[in-house]
Formats: sequence, C-alpha cells, structure tokens
Amino acid sequence: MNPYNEILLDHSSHPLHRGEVADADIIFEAKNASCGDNIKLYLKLANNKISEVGFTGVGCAVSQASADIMLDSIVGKDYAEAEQACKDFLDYWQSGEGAEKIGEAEAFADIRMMPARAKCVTTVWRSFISRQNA
Amino acid sequence: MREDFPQLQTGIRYFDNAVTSLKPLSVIEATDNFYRTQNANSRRGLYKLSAEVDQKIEAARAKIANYLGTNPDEIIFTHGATEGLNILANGLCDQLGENDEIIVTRLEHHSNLLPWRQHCKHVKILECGRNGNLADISDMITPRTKILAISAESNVLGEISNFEETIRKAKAAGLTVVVDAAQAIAHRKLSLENIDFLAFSGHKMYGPMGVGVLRGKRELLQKLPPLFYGGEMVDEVHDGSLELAAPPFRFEAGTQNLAGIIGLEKAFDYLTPENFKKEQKLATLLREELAKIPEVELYGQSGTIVSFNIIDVHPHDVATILDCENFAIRAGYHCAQPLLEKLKIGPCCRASLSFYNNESEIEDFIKLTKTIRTRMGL
Repeated sequence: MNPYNEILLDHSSHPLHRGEVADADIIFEAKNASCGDNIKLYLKLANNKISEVGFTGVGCAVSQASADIMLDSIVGKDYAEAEQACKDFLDYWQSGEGAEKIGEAEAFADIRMMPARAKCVTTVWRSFISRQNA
Repeated sequence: MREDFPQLQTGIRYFDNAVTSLKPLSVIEATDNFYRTQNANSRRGLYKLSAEVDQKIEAARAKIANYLGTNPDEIIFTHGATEGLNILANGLCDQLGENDEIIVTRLEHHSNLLPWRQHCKHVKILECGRNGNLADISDMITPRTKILAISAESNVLGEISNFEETIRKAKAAGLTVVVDAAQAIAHRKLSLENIDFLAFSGHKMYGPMGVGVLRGKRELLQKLPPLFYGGEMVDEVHDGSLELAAPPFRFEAGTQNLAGIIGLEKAFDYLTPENFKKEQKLATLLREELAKIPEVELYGQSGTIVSFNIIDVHPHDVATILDCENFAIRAGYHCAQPLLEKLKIGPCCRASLSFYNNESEIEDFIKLTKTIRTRMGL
C-alpha cells in the first residue's frame, strides 16, 4: 500500500490555495498539538459566499494536502454549504460511507486506514466547523 | 534470542525501542503467574501467600540493587521514571533556599524538565549541540547552584559524550546529581559514582509498563520528603501526628505494581555486556548506512538512538511510508520540544534499536529509506 497517491501528492507539493489572502474576513487556525503543526486558514467573503481561500503554515504532506483539498471544497459556497461539505467529509472519515459526496478528498481513503494519522487529515475540516460555531 | 520476544513473530520490524521495548516471555510469564497463582498484597497480610509476595518483592529489590551496585534500601519502586523524577523535584526543591538555582540540560525529555520548572523558580539550561555534546557546566555553576538534573542518554540524540565529565564536575562543585536513566538503563551499565539519584522505567528495558525504579543514596533519602502519602508508608499514625516508615518504604505509598516488579526482575537478565555490544554494533551500521544517503540529515553521534530527517519530507510522512512496510519508528518532537526547537531541527525521525534487531532489518530499512523521496514525488 502506498497511501501517498497522485492526488494527495499533487495537493501537498503544488497546493492550489497556499498563501495568505489579502484583507481576509476570517482567519482561523488548525492546530495539531501532537506534531506541532499549525496551519492558518484565510477566508474572504463576497455576496454571502466564500470567494477566496488560502492557508499558510508547515506540516506533513497529509495535513498540507488536507488543508488544500478542504479549502478547494468550500470555495464558492455559502457557509451552510461549506459546513455541510466538511461534515460530509468527517462522516465519510468516521463511517467509510458517502465517498460520492466528497470529491477529491477520497484521496485519503488509504490514510483513513491508518488511525495514527487521523488528526493530520481531520484537523482542518474540524477547525472550519468549530470556527463556525465559535 | 529473538524467539524470547513473541511480538517479533508478528512480523513487525521494531525500531522504536526508545519509546518502549518489546517484552520477553520470562517477563510476560512472571507477571502472568503472579495474577494466576500468587496474587496477594505485600506488607499487609498475615497469611503465607502474602509473606511469599513480600519475599519476592524484596528479592527483586535485592537483585536490582546488586545489578546497580548499591544497597536494597536505596531502591524505591515507582510507576516509572516520571514518578521518580517528580518525587525528586518535589522533595529536593522543597529544601532549596529562595534564591537557589538548579541546572537542567537542554537534552532533557519533558519528564526531566517540567517537574523542575514546576518546583523551582531558578532553572538554568545547560546547552548542547546537534551532536549531543553539552557545554561546559563549570561556566554555569555559582554558589547558588544546588542541583544538576541530567539524562545519561538523550532520547533524541543518543549518547552524550561528556556526560561523565559533566556529572563529575557537578559533584566536585557540591551539587546534588539527579540522573534520568530512562534511555541509558537498557543499553549500558552505569557507574553510580557521582550520581546521587537515578530514575528509570521498566518498560524501556524489557520490563512491564507501569513500574520503575528510583535509586537514592541512603543519607539523602533520609532527608527527602515523600510526594505521596497513604497506606504502608508510615510506621505510626495518630490524630495530629505520624511517623514515616524508613526508606525505601516511605516512598512507596499505596499498593505497588507487584506483578510489574516481579516481571521487572526478570528483565534485568537481558542487560548483559553481549547484548549491549550487539545493539551498539547494529546502531553503528544503521548510522553509517544512513550517512551514505545524500538527502539524509543525521543528528547525534553514537548510541542506539539514530535520529534523522530526509530533506523536504516531513518525518510523519517518513514514518507512515515505513509503517506500510511494517517498520515501527517514532517521528515528531519525542517529548523534547525545547531541544528540537533550540537546535532548529524541528520534528524528526527516530530509529532506536535493541539487541533483537538484526542486520537484515537494517538492510531493508536502508533500501526503503532510499525510495522515500521518490515515493513522495520528489
């Protein structure tokens, strides 16, 4: 098994959304204390939709790819849709069901079988939901 | 020897001995037998079985004392190195003056750093380099310096080449020397010369989890206040007064991990010069082979712990790829975050060996390590 498939590696080495967003409306953090990762996420809103996204911070390939894929799945959506996208992914992570709803995030299917890496993947998705509720 | 360790038969290639070692059958059977046929509490029962347990526990204490070259009444059973170090930080700092200071090295695991920071206002850090060599302690000692807390081996950088020299200088300057032997105990025989207190865990030296040893010099233990109060650590208790039991019992409040102690005694049989030599040879081979890979950065210089990074690959990803081929290593900050931050290393990979590892495992490990950058698309 090689969990580092092409999609995951593409998002980790050539992320679509790396970098700060100028004049971001919302900035929040996804911290993974156990490995010291600290990813900062930036969102800009326009017409009640998330119009621009970005992230900074270093971490493993898994956490970087997860941040990029998460942001890619919420950009262009309103809050409720974005939150649903995060919930769909976390439901899939929990149950293994609903892969058809999560798009490229299915790239984490092999990593999902490695419980030691769960936080690397899920932290950014959870951070969006907890930011919503804050 | 590999057949003594049943977990090796699962096919795991276990390179994470610094976090916890595998357990031999003799240890597993001794703890199992205790619960099957010998289960009774110690120093409490008036029946035969309880007296037999007392004998076994004291026999274990004597065997461990003999191995360390000290007296049984200087051997305290704990739940692990962390408990031993907390007993010391609590008790020794209690005896410090307002402006007294202690020295802790940069190499310390959080277990030999945080208790001191918690109990002493003036903690000075003795710095080290990426090779694990410590700065000269003489430059730091002042008339107010009372204690040195130091690891005999770093859990990240392995052997510390000037460990002996550092504790000798500390002793000569009148400091109380506390040694965290959690890593060293499994891999070499320590001389207690220049060491006042020594703490280690059983589980890193082939013994059970949840048991450890704190060794202290008799005259110092007499003055050390206990951290825990409770059953069987007192001779007499009255309303408003109590009389502590003599050491080591005053430090063993409550029911001890008796099955663990009985298992731990068996684990000492594996601490032999032959095993020490074999694992050092394996670690040298691993270090030399890793050094030949241009994209590998190595930290430390000797000992069974081999820490490294592969350039541009996060250590957690390295560990995952190795895990896919059934190699167990540790990756991250290794509970020594201030060390890795100060040395500007950040998280790293750590392979830590034992005598039951072999050359074939190392060969496979090197082959696989060479492919990691490619697997990561680099």
